Amino acid sequence: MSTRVVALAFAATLIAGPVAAQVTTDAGTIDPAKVERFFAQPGYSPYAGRKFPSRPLWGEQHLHTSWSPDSFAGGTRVGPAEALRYAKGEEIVSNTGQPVKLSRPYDWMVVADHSDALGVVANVYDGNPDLLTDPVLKNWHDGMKKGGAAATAVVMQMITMQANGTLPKAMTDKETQFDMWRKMTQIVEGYNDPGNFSAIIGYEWTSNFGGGNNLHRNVIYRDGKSLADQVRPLTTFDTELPRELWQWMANYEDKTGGRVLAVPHNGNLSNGLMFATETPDGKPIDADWARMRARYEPLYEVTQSKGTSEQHPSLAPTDEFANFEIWDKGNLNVVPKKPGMIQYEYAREALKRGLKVEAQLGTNPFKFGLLGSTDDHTGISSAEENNFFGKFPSSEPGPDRSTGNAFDFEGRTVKDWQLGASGLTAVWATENTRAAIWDAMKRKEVYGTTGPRIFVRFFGGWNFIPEDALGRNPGTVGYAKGVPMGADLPPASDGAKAPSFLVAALKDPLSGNLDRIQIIKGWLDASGATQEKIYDVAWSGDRKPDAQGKVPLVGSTVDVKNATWTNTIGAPELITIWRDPDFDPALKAFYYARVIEIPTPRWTAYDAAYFKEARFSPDVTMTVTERAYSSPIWYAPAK
Amino acid sequence: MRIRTILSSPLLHFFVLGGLIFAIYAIMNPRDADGPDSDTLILSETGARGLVADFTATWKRPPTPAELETLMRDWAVEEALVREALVLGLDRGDAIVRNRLRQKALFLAEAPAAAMTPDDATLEAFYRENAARFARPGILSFEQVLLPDEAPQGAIEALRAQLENGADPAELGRATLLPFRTDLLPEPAVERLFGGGFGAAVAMLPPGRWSGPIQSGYGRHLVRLDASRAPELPAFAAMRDKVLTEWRIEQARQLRDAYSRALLARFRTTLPATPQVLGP
Repeated sequence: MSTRVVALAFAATLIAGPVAAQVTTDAGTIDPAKVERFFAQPGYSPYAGRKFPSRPLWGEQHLHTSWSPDSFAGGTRVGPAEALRYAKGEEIVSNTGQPVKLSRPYDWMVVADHSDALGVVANVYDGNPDLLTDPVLKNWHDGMKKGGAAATAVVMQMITMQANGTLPKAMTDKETQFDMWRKMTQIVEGYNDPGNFSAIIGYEWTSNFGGGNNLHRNVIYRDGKSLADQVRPLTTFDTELPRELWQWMANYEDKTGGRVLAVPHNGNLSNGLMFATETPDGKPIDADWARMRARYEPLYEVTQSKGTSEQHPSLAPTDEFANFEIWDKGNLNVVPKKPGMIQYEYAREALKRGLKVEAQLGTNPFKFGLLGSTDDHTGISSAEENNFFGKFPSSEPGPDRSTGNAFDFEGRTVKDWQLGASGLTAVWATENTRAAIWDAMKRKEVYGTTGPRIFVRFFGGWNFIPEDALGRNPGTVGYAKGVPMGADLPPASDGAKAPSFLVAALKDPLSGNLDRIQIIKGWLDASGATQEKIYDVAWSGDRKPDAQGKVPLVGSTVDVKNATWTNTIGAPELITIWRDPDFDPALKAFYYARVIEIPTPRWTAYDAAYFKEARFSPDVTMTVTERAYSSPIWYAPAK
Repeated sequence: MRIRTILSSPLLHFFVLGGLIFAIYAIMNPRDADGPDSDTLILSETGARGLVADFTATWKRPPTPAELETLMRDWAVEEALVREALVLGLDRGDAIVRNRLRQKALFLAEAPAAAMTPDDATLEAFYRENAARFARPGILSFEQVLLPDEAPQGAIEALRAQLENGADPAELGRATLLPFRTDLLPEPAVERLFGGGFGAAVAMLPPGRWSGPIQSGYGRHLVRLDASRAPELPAFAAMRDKVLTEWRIEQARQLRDAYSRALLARFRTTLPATPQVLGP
């Protein structure tokens, strides 16, 4: 193949889409100058060959229903079927009898019930021919097939026979017990509607290593029921060690040909274990451990109802937006933290530490993208401040949640008002299917928000110019000249001194205007120490940055008493090109965008205005600065 | 103390008689090897094969001898702890245990639904009753221009005239990240992009010309609807599998309720009056 043809083919794959942009070629060395030429001459039609994602798909990958035992014990009766109907935009009735509906439907959802709950329950009714040799069961089976009164009669007979101890032996025989997992995948399969709504199969592996130290992971399947059913989900009865979960995942992929990924969450409740450089059972991590984590955990859930784990204020004293929905009292059992734990719990710190570990082990185990999800245990995914249905039925809307406890372990408490109406994920997928959404997750082309559906584009490259921000379609120029969020910067173009970034954000039509876009950079300095810096890169109005480059606060229009605000401050959209002014080509770095909204009423303010009997104490937070976190773009010097 | 005093002691009689009763009971009721009081832990080969089957279901391969050894030892530990816990009554009054049992009983009650196969007439009637749930959303293709915030009516009309004369909408109005052209997007997706009500408003427009202004979450827009497809209820045959799933879920709910009611009817339930508990 001539160099010219190779270059053509390469240019075509780059333009074709973000997946292709990350694919390496075995066709030999590519002359970047020749590739450049093709970039500079796009076809006349701006739409021809356009395969990149044009709108984010909104959803959540972390919802528990009544099938999780802790949910059921807490009074949750909304099951997976109703939860999925709600996600598709239908009105359902909550666990406390209140009608509830999303402001706008989701595009996709993963019901992630605890695998420990998905045990085995006798189920002899699915027409298993072996069982139907029993005349009673055969009779029941036929009755059920008829449905209606005949089916009810079967249930009545079942109760009577059970009372008399004359149930057919097959009913109580261990050998006929059936996996609940298959029942779950059946329901999810029933709601999957490619093109309109993706119901994605998943479960939560709920390791509380050492007693309440949160090492939970959501396992997300690319596959349908036929593959997912072949292997029983891993439970924490099997193991509480993450590396054994990754082994299980590798094993699932080997045996079925399917694909899975895992999303850890709540490092803030892990008491120093989530991003530690030794394993929970006290062994130092090694190269193999780092490879497995990097392979199976491409994402991290940075915000959810039990607090936000982006960065702790004590680790970033100059970050005026770090003090956001922080839960730092202890772990899941509210066992208090010891000094030194917090640095192993927060995402930004882990992204930085990952660069350091990579220098030692050859793989960065903490090279993850960011997303958000609710972790609600009500079967009702609610991340909207004015539509917050709590984490448990006890924190569904009502005056009691103004004073109630969300967690209470021997007097160590976390209050209900500290719960956040937080966590939503946007996926830059090319189409609304399980496979496309999963692929976007795998390549980290996703971002998380604290609830609002803020539209965020973030591209990195070497030759973005200010005029690129004037165009009306940042996607076209972004994919043509750079890589999207979640990717690695390609090697520097000839003559480029520093990487440049195209970043754009559009407000949620139902939420607050935008205050600013920040780019957060983390790097490993020449001495091998980790560093971070936050740059304000785009902001509303004519505010002037101070000597340190910090833009003054935007102010607030929130009327707490009436739970209202006005969009008279902030901007509906922000877009800019930013070039790293402090770039050193010899140092590893990452960059992610954080988009901050103007202050709006927090769910507590909506409650205080709605429930006359609510008794919030004066220290309760009543406003919120919602935000979006993009997945990072990484830079590494050429070897 | 003399022997006679001891022999005539009621306490001794009590112990002797009691011991006798226990001895007879033990002879009449040999210990169940698996029972909570047994001092043996016996895992049968069938039981061990069950452990192998569980392991295989999770890992898709049988355990190695070393792994099976661990599984069996762990079985023994668990069995011992469970027996001890049952003897101590630790299962009683435990919300987790009770709720788990309650949940399993309900799963059992609804299990028949998974095998119910109604005739097509029943299914189709259910489909019609719940048409809204199964309808395909409308689909819209349109172009839009976001108007400057304070645009006066005259300027809007001038803009409209330009657009009608073939000006490129991508170059007009306020610069925005919103797509100026939207192809074959389902109506709910349009509402997700532009805000509630926008999709419905666009769907009502006469096709082929610039209409509006229409209000979105971002401001006012001129919109040209190019093509639309109304929401439709697909043919029943195409949706049969989905309808059957939903129908079974509905049957499961009814069975759960029927089971709970029937079960409760077997008991004479006595509950105290609320003032007795809470005080007047």
